[in-house]
Amino acid sequence: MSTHRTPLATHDLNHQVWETEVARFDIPIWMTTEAMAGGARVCQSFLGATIHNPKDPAADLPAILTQVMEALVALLEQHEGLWSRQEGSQPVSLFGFPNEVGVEPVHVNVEQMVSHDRQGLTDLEPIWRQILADDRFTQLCDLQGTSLAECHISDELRVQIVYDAAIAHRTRIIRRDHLLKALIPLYVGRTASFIHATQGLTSAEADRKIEALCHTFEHMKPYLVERWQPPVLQPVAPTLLHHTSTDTGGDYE
Amino acid sequence: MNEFVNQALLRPLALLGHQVLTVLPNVLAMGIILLGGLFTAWGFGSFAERLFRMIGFDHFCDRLGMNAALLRGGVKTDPSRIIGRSIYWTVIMLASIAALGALNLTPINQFAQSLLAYVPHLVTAAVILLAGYFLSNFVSQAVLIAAVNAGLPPARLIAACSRWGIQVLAGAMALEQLGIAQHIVVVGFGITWGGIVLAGAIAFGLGAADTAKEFLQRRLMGRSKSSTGDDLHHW
Repeated sequence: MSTHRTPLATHDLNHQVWETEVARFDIPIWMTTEAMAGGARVCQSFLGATIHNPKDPAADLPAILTQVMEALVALLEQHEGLWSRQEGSQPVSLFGFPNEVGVEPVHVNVEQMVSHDRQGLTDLEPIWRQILADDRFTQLCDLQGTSLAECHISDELRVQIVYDAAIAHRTRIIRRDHLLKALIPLYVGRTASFIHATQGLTSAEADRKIEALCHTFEHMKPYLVERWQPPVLQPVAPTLLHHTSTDTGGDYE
Repeated sequence: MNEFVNQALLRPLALLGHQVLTVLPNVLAMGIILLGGLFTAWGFGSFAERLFRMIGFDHFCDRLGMNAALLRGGVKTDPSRIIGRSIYWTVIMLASIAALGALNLTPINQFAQSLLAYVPHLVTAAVILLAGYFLSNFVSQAVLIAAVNAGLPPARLIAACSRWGIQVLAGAMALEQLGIAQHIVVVGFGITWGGIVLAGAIAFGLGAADTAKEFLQRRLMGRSKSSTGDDLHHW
């Protein structure tokens, strides 16, 4: 039997992640990042909708979110020499025929989500103050008294919060699992804000909003690079993916 | 007359002189031990302070939230300095005990020995308090985050209860180590658990009396009905 493997497949198989939590929640993130970081040629194709195991969002959210963010920040640390040097992004080749998958409407209690976010702001204040820059915390506090419709977390604020959290995770200001779990109300609040902003929009219009968020992440990267202070810069800088919102799984931003 | 002077004046003076000469080396030894202890304490304290500062102990404590806790308690000194000073005073104390022992006086020796025997209890109590403090911080933070994520409104109250619960327990255990309140932990647990069970029973009795009544009625009436029916069926 022939056992010819590509270097990328060999690289992936040699990593001890297949029996870990990474394989349960983060395998798309991990494989894509490893491929890009390893300098593999990257392309994009439509494979249909991603089917996940049914999960109870209320029960699984802390575990899933913590795991996904843990993996993301670990990859950030692992490849800091790569992303800190990369500027801008460019589109990747597209193979196959684009197809749009119909999305089932989901009923969510936005009011409850905003209430969760506000409870976090009140009760987790000492922890958030350690994680977030003062300016960011003040901006979040300003949202405390607003009505449900006005409670909007802008893309810029969201990006800075994520970058602050990544820096706090790296510098170990508080225990890492506590840090990630403490950010869940913020994630819920931002999701509520996104739902409110995209209510009544088509999938394409909602995709454009996500695309705009990705551009904001890209434009504000110097903020992260300045504060990250990578100890060693690696010389390799392969192409990064240009974000297009064609992933029908839509689990991660 | 000469006899009188010798017996009544010179002899006591000679005896006193002899006693002073006997004790003098001990006093001298005490002075040397104290002086040596002072220098050793200063050396050890400074070295420890510098070492801890060099390895980033202050930063580590900052991350654990200890610096903030010290500030809250009105202590503005950094942890490295505190450790340095603690070592300094510990050495001074040990040197003082050793110096008192050098006098070779029975009551002082006994006091020094009992003081030395108490030191391990003091150290154990300090370790228990420190461990309790760290554990309470960790647990209260974890409880606070979990309670907020579970959407429980009194999240802060629950976290504060867990913090104080652990700190009180650690305090009680430390007191027990010091021999101040030997059975406080057992009694404390008895009172606390008794209180919780009593509170639960009262709350259930006041708040869920109807539920309890319905439950008991269902259980008892259901059982008697089924037994009646069973009897009739057989007859």
